[in-house]
Amino acid sequence: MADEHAATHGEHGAAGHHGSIWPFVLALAGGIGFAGVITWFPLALVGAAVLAAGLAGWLLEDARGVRFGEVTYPTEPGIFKSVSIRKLGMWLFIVSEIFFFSAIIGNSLALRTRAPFWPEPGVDSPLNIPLTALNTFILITSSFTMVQALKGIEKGNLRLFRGALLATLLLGIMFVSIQVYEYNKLFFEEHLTPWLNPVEPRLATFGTTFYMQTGFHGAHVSGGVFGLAYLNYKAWKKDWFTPHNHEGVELIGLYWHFVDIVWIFLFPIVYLI
Amino acid sequence: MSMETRREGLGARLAAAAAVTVKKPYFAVFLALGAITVFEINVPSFGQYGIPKSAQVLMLMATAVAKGALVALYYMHLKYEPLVLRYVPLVPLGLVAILVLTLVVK
Repeated sequence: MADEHAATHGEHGAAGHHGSIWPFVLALAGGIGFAGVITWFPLALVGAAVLAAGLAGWLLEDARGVRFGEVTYPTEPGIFKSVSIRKLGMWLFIVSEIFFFSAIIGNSLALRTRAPFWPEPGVDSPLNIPLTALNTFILITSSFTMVQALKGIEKGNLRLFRGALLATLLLGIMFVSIQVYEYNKLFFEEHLTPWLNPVEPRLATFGTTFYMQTGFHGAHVSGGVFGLAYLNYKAWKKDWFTPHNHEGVELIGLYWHFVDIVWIFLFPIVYLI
Repeated sequence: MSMETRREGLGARLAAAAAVTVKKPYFAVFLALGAITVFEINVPSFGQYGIPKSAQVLMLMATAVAKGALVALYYMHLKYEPLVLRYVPLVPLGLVAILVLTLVVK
């Protein structure tokens, strides 16, 4: 078994193909940051600094062209032996994100059932449904362009790949920009705040749950936009992605589609019900 | 027929099967997502036709599940993945149902 394992490593050549240290730095940053949020706030800032350093280190390492070997599959027999380990890792990350958003949405539903007042969509709600519907179409369209980008690189059609990837990035930026505009209008004109509301006291709980759900989703979309921007940069580098080596495109795509699915559930829950 | 010929025949069939790419209905899914969203946006106005709020909520949850399933199956390619991977995102959903029910009912 050991020989088999060594032989498999030999196929990939260079030492260090096991991966990068930077994901562990990011995990450490997350641990420090969250510990800071619940104990001593300056520690959260330390977490943010470690996070920035970790992201910078990872991007620089990747941009230098350090490769971690070809797509690999678990060498030991098991139920996941036919699944790429990177794709499996992304799916497990998505599972953790399902828990994260379920906790937030569940908590908001629990608060809603206890709130003395909840605005009715289209009647006394301050939310702009037509504008958010437009944003929903934008996100759906960006999912479509993302799969077109994947289709393009799978077929070796660089024009389709790069064009669709750029369109996905622009649509993502558009979504975030519209959300910023919506927040600005709601906060300054509709007086919808994420905390105790002196102007519209009955909207306090509604405001808290609204900003918590859409804010965390917006943060995830913003993270996806950074990922897409970096993917666009790599898409223009010669021979970085090929029809036989483009798993990075698929993995960023999985994350992007997941963010779309979260919005598919948030839109009716927050805006239409 | 010799063993060698049979092996070639099998190899040719496997190669031909591998060459056939599954046609993925990306554009049809996109149109379906758009159409469902148009319906979804109009659900809050169904109250004026006497449709109760509880029925509207059920409709909106059904459309959200349909849209989410379309994206997961076709855009995230779960439909084309090994069976074991299709179950991975289903694992948390049961736990999520318990969490949400506990929070809302408590």
